[in-house]
Amino acid sequence: MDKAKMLQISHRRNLLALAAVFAVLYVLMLTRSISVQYQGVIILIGINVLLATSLNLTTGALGELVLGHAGFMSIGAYTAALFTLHMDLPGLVEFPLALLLGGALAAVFGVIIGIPALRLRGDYLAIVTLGFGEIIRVIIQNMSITGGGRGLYGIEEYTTFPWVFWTSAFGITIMYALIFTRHGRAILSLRENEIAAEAAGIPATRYKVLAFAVSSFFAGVAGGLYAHYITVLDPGTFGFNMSIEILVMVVLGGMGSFTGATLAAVVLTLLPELLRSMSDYRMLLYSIALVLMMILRPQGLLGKKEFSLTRAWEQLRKKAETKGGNA
Amino acid sequence: MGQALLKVEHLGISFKGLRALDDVNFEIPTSGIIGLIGPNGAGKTTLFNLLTGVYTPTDGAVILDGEVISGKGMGYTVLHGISRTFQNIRLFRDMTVLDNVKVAMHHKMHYNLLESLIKTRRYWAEEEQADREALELLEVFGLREKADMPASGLSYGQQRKLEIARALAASPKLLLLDEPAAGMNNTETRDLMETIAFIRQKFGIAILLIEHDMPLVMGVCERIVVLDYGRVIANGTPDEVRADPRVIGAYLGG
Amino acid sequence: MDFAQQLINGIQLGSIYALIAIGYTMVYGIAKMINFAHGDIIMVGSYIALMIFQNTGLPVWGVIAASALASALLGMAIERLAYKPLRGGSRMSALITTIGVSILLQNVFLLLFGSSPKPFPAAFEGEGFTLAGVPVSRLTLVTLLVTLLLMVLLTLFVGRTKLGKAMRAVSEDQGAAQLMGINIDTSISLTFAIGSALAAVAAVLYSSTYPLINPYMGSMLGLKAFIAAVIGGIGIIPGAMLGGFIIGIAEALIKGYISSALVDAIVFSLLIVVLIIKPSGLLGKNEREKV
Repeated sequence: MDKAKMLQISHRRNLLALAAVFAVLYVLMLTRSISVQYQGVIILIGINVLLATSLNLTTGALGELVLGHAGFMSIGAYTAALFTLHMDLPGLVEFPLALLLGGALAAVFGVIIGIPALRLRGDYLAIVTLGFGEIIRVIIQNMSITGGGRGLYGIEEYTTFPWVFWTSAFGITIMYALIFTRHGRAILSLRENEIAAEAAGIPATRYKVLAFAVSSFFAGVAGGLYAHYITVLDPGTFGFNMSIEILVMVVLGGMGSFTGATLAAVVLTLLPELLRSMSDYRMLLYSIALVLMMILRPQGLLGKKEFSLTRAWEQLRKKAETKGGNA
Repeated sequence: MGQALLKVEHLGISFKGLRALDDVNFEIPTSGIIGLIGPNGAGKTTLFNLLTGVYTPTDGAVILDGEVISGKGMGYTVLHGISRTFQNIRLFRDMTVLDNVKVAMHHKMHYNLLESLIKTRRYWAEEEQADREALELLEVFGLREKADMPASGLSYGQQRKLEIARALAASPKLLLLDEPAAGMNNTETRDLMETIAFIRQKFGIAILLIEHDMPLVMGVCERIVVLDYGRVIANGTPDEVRADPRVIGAYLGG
Repeated sequence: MDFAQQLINGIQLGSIYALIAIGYTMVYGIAKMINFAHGDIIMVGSYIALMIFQNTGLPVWGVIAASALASALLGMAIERLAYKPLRGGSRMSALITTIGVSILLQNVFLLLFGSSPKPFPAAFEGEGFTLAGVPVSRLTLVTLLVTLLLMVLLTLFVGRTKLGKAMRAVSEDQGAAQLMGINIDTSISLTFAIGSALAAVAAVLYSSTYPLINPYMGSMLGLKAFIAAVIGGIGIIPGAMLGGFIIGIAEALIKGYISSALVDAIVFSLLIVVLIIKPSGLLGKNEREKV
């Protein structure tokens, strides 16, 4: 059995499944079978999925708790928004450029935050990331180009469903693929046992910084998508609470599992919409979920496992075969 | 025995004025098996940490194949041919047995980040090569069947073996084993002795072994270095060391 | 305002930070975890004090004592219910749990009292004295004296009494302490109780100074006290006191001379700088993981 070929088949199947999901949703939207309100929710889901999976790279795969993911997002959001506000290019040109630029600047900050990660033990680093998130917020609130505390208005509404869907899918695919490479194994080994990893020849510095850079890049891209969906930016949005909401998705989905983070992001974006009357209790329920999860199932719903359609299919088939054999 | 692979020259280290090792000298020949023994607190693990670049020596040097490697950090030493295991097992517990071994092959693969994302031919070739090598190594230690299990699911003895397999995966010239028999029963220890002899024969590498299990050390090592209070008090064949009055004194607390 | 006035404001605020920082540092010392919910105990302490003020005729010292007692019980209960099941688990799980408890407390009080700030009664009104031409209010004086008194008592307790020594033993080496017959659970409970009680005292002093309380008041206050604990050297009680005064004075001077909008950002930057230069804090020893 050729492992490479099997993986290639699995990749092709995943791509097909993605295209199918996209086609179904897009047709439903075009025919207005999904209301405008829910189209918005689906766009938010796409953004949150990208946020959760990108946080999963640092917090799940690298094992460093990040409490300022919203900070990276806000850098991407403001950078992208300011770019499209000040550039006078056609949307199809300036929007992808804005997303890339937002991601890139967020990644620069990710590297800056990744550097103390080399010296600090986990819980201290968590506080540094929290501090970073707050610093970014205060700075944005006090700059004139960002509109200060009043916020930024009049951003073009470029973020459509196809944009969100394919950008997020692209980001998740890249991060997911990364895990099955020597680079990904290096990142995972640092989470498992840093000293053993270094003794096995893993350059800890390089891979911590890499994980932070990639993670913050996609948080920045998600920020850019968010800015061009919501069209108004207020620095207060990107506070500690938002960082925690993203963290909850990663924790519930299973730290280290990209499919788990994706699933949790979908559910946790959809649920508050379905339970509008419960909106006052949202953070309350999140906090209870966090505590109970840590006590009862700290590895998250999926643990570190990835859900795979191919694997599920194989297992079903095997079961059917053994049943057939017995009969 | 061949010429010296590793030379330890006047090696010494102090922690806050406390002399942990002082003027340590010995050599390890290419593909020799050397035992490192001594009472608790004699400085054995400190010596390991100096040899693997965890600590920087206060005086002296560690020379591997004619090149000074002390003080250059853990990453440098492992890339230049010294691998180790740990006294308290340090595996990547939630990764598969196979991936544990493949992590140590990181520096033997060369595909870059972009190649790994678009999965070039080189990516596949190197990954397949690594899989093959890793599985061969696991075969040696009887772990091939467990390749896809998480490392945490292995028994204690198997975990020790996996650590050795991982250390070998980096293709070292010198393998340092820190109390490999700790916590093993007699059968497992005997099994381990055979494995150590086999590793030397198969891979042609030198082995330095810290061990408290005297029958194991005496049975498998060609020479034994004895440390006491941070100094080498004896260095010779098992028979010489066994007969050395200073060694007997150190162990009986005389 | 002149420098002396800023300095006095800083010392007053620093006393409050120091009282809160002790809670962080003691819990970190004994349970090796950052108790994120500690800041919210201050908020709870303030609301409890407010309710007692409004519903009873208790004098201010009685209010403080009652609030401290209630907060101590709450702190112990949180430890038992949420943190104890995670003992020995990963540090990240513990930290996430404390964050969960923090948000839980905020939202429970948000539902109970609403988000609008509630006025807190002026507890220590009146003239103080004038020191070299600078007026020192009675509140400032009380804050400083109460803080110093509690610090002396705490130092004596930890250093001289059997329970205090047991607590120290547990934070040095839990396994060895257990072998010596020390009850780990009791020591940890006691640590949470003391930390929470000090936080409640700090709460009344703080709310008397800034007399509007809301369910989120504890998070930034707690974070700054935590920064104080880290700067002084986490796990070290005198370090928390030193760090508290440093942060308090720094904050007052930044407000007075640089910008009040940037205070939080500057304090966080200070933390990052300290962590990068000397992660073990001013009074801490550098340690590295044993190989």
